[in-house]
Amino acid sequence: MKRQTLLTVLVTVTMVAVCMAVRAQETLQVVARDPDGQGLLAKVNGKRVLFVSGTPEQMGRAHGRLLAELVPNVMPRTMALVGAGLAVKKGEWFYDRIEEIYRRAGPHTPERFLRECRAMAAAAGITERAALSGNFFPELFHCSGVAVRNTASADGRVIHARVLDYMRDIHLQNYTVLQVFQPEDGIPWMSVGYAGFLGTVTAMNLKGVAIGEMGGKGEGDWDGMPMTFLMREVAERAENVEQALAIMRAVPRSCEYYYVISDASRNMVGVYATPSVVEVLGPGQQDKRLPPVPKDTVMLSAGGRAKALSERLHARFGTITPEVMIEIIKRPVAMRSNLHNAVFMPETLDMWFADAGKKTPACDEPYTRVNLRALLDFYASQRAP
Amino acid sequence: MMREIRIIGAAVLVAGVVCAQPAAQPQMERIEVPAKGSFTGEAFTYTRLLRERNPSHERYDIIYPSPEVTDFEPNNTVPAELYLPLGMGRDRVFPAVVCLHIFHGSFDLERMLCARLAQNGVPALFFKQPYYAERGGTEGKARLVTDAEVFVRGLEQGLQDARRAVDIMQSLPGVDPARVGITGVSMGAILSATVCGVEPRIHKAFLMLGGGDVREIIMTAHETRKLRAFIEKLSPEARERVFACIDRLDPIRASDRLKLLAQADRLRMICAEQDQVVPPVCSRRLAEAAGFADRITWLKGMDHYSAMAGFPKIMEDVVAFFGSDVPASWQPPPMIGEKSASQLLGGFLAGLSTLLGGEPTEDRAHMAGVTAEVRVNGKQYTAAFDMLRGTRGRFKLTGTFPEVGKAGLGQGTYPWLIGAGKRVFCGTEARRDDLSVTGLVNPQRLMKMRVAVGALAAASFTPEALKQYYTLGEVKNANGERLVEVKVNHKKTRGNLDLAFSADGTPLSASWTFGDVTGTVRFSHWRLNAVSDDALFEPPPDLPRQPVLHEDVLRMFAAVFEYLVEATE
Repeated sequence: MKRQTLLTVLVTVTMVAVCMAVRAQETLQVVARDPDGQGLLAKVNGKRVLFVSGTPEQMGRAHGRLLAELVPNVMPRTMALVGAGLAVKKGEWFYDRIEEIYRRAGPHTPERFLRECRAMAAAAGITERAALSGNFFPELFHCSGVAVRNTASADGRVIHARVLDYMRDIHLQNYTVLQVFQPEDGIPWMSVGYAGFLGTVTAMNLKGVAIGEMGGKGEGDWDGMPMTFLMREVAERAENVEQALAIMRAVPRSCEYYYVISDASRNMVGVYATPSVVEVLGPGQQDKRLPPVPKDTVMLSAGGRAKALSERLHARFGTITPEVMIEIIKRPVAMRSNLHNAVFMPETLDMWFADAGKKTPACDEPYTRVNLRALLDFYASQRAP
Repeated sequence: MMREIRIIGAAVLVAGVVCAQPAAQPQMERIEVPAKGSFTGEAFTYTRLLRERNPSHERYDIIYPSPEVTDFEPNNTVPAELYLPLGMGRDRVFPAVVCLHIFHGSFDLERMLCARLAQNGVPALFFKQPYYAERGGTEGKARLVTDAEVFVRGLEQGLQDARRAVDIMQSLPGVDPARVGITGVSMGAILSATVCGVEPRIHKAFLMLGGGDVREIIMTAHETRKLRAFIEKLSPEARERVFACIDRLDPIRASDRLKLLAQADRLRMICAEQDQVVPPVCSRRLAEAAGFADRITWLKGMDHYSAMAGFPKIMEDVVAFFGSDVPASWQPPPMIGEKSASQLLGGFLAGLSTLLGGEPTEDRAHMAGVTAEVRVNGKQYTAAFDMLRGTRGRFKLTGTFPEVGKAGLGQGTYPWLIGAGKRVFCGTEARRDDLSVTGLVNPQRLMKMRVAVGALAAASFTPEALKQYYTLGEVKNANGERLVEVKVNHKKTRGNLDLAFSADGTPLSASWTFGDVTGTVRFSHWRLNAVSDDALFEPPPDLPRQPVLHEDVLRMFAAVFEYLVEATE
């Protein structure tokens, strides 16, 4: 009887714990399954979550199948809209530029990404050209990134935020997908992404490496690995900030980008990367291009946004939690074009993310909390026979 | 059909509406229908009050006693609206129509339909179903789903009320008692078909978006969820009574009468191919029961709500169907003097829908020159552009646009796009004659555009039918220009719209204030079906050309179109 009671208590406690874990990242609901068992489409808090796993072909096929209705809206449709804007405003033909980028950056792009891209295109019913256009079009983001730790955060843990300010007006937010990749020979990771996009601009992997980028100049320097694929390479390969930096230094790079990278060991850096240099900015390190940076803080931003960010970081120094960070990155730190935001806690693998609404920037929208480990556990449980 | 109504309302909110001339000191008339003219065999009296006289028809408020007396007193009096053509005379030669309303209770659709019929020589009446509006007291139609007995009796009462409406129409001076028809949309069509089964005096029936097997419709449609919830909460016995009543009144049981109408070519059915409220299978079942299955007119690619895109054409079909019995000697009242404010507004709405969605005749084009200043939440946008729409998908749009600057695009012998004023991208490479811009647009977004254009067109027919949302004033300038001032007072939208017209009725400008949005649009020219030339659709000749893929340019056009539709959602 005693053993039965103990068992009951244990089961109850376990169930409560599981329930609490699930509640921590809100309930996932399965929407569709890849018939090959290599993917799953789910929803959490009304947001799409895509899981894919396996070889590049398997992941691409699952991606294309599960998002077959959405992908054509992004590529070719949204790409065509971007192309029309480029043609009208600058007199440049989008597809000529894409072909040049592909010709120059393609040789530096890991073959597995191209294979995945082709498989995704075939499964989604779009042309390979459309898929490559979507995944190689130059991202000229104007964003902010910030990470705090130790004395700057409330409990010493790293709180890392990335603000993506980019073309909210073209309605890319209609096609948002939280993507969870489980490659057969890489680290599982998640990306705040869009249907059909195989690279990433906002990612965290199971080792706790989190990364967000900020676009700079250097447009036309396309003889390197495209930024979105370089970030994916980091997400799939790096177990900590040092390894991420090693990858960045080792590969040919394109254009000019800034990154904030953090990891579960509370390491964090700001990175300035061009085809020729990789400069690293440590926590609390000052830079003439930035307003005063608080201790134990890495921040990248520009203009009035950087000033506001600096002031807010100083004002909330030592009290920063994810919830406080969400307040800090509201406008004017985020721009009106704010497409999505993410706040990472690498040590717990938690992420809070928000997408732009129809007429509102992401910073004014509610955030959804997910946990990468819980997501992967959910996927595993759904795949189990 | 609630969404159609909102769409119509929104369409008219854009352009405003009208107040017809109120009749001077209207007197309420009491009219007796003798026992021999009443389906119950008992005489009854109804009242009618002239509410307005338009240049094309009169509208009366009618109140008649329901043949069915219920415990809820307000429900026993039936409010109705009667629309009469002008110049009917008293010879009993005119057809007449009873119109049954949709599930939603705004009655806008029925007002438009009845007004349109009256404008074309067909007296028409709609009445409010049991417990709708004032018949339901403060609860309105929700009272219908409070009790099984109330519901069952309400359904049966609706049929009795429809039969009494036929009594009234038959008794009208000028109406041929043998030519009283019935029509309705959605729930109105279903009930109309049922009435055909119990009312042998129905001469013709035009059923829009209707069907049979009502139990299936109720148990599956999103729109009937409250009714479904009510039924599901009933005790098994009460539920069975309700279902028995629904089955007894199912229009499929009216098959004998419907067959007679069909055989005499006095039945029409228009259904939506993708109807999600009245499933096509239910429409087919009703049509099969009526021996009419091969004669349904299907609205291709449309559902219960996007059918609004086809509503102007449907209204014309309804008018033609019932109007064929109008004596040839009757003609719509001639236009005397200048256009009324209502007509100016209707003309503007019609022109706008034509400009946006109407195909010009061969070798002609629709043209407009527009300068616009719009302020949204304090931010100013300006644009100045010329637009041209020709046949076979040809168009041209050139000017200066917000966020973009100078731009131009068009399709003549090939699609083209001006790049930053420096060159023209010409879609001449790898021409794909199997592709078109409309073919590349997401069908749902294309349908939204068509629905909006359809709503504008429908509203343009009878803007006065929606006047409960607006008041209208008019000013005449010394130079003959006319200013129509519209005050919109809708529960969701309040604001002002001023439309200026030249002496001949051509739109000159529109200014509006709705919430944080203010704006002015001026038309330098506004010509519909104007003579055009093929060369008008070609790109400017003085810029260098860069050949690009035909498909790429078409996809860009489609993406821009979708973007604009999305932006207005």
